[in-house]
Amino acid sequence: MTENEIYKKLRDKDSPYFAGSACLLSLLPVIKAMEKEIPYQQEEYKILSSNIHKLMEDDGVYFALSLKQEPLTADEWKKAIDITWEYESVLLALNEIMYLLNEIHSPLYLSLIKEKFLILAKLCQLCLASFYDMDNQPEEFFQAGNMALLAIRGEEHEEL
Amino acid sequence: MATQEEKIAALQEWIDQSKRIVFFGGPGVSAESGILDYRKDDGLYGRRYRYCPFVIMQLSYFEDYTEDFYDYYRSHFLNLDAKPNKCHKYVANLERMRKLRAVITQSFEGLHQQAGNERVYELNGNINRYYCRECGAQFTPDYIRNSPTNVPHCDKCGGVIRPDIVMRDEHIEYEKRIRTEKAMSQGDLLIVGGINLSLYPAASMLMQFKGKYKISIETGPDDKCPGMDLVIQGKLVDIFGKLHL
Repeated sequence: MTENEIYKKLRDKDSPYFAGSACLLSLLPVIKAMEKEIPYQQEEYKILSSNIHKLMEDDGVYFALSLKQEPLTADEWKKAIDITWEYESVLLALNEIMYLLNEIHSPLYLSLIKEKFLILAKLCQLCLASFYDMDNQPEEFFQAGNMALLAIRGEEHEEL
Repeated sequence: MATQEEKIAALQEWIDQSKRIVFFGGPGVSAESGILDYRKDDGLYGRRYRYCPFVIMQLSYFEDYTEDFYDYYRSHFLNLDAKPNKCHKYVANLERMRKLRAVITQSFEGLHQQAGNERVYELNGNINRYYCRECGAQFTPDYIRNSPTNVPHCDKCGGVIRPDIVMRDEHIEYEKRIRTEKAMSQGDLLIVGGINLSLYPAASMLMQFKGKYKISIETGPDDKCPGMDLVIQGKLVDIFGKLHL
């Protein structure tokens, strides 16, 4: 799917690219620009971009699962857990980039990344709150959820 | 005094309890895949090359004796046939199990990635990447292998191509160090393997660790890791071979 096609789908409430995906999509050109201006490990930027693409496809599903009134099935929990890990990876990478941008005094990129990070963190937290409120979470969910929350906080090691 | 089995059992218990493991590996990890540590002069090098590898693998040598550098580099690094060992594979499985925060490595052969790790912080670069010193264009190992001249040149600007590694007289990029330290600071268990942590910059990395336990696996007399909670001596492949996920 081209980026233009994705843009069209962002306005479509029935599309999996709705809402949070817009924020993810807007990260891609920033990362592309950073690849040139703040060269670090090209591989790492590639991995982050690929994780963002994956999350863009899954973000709508995540949101929909978090809104379900009836208990999630085992397959639905598996999907929710997988997407929580996708969020964790992206948030962790963004957190690390923000730390770097702060250290090398790059306020423009820092504000751009921070703005998007906050939106994504909020979305993830909202969905996680719903999942935590449900009754039938499998054990693996707690590990994924806790790690995603830790990635949001971006803190140094602490006891979970 | 704990026995080897008791130490491995303690390591296993800490791995089971941890959720953000950091593995910090050095040349000892690659050595168990059959890669010679160029920093150790085994006495053979002087017979074939003008200087020992410790001297050859410097940027100043690269600049002054580029032909010599590539003579050595081609025969030792360009056609490496090394495969990930049990240690690489175990660490890759930790990442698949979502228990790994990062692999920080001093090696530059890319074996952790070959084993399946994505969260790899390469302190010394990677011999599978090359770039032009003039225009920054990037190249693959195949380009270097197929170069008609010993010293490869950029097909865009004619500049000399170099491996994307940190040579002996170069510093680790600031950005790389900062991000690696951040990853280190987020770990809850540190496993160090085949490395001398008494030397800079490895020693300063260690200071960033804020987690619970630090474990060192010392593969030989060159591996020195002061201030550890647990030190296990032995081959990494043997020790990781006894661990489960």
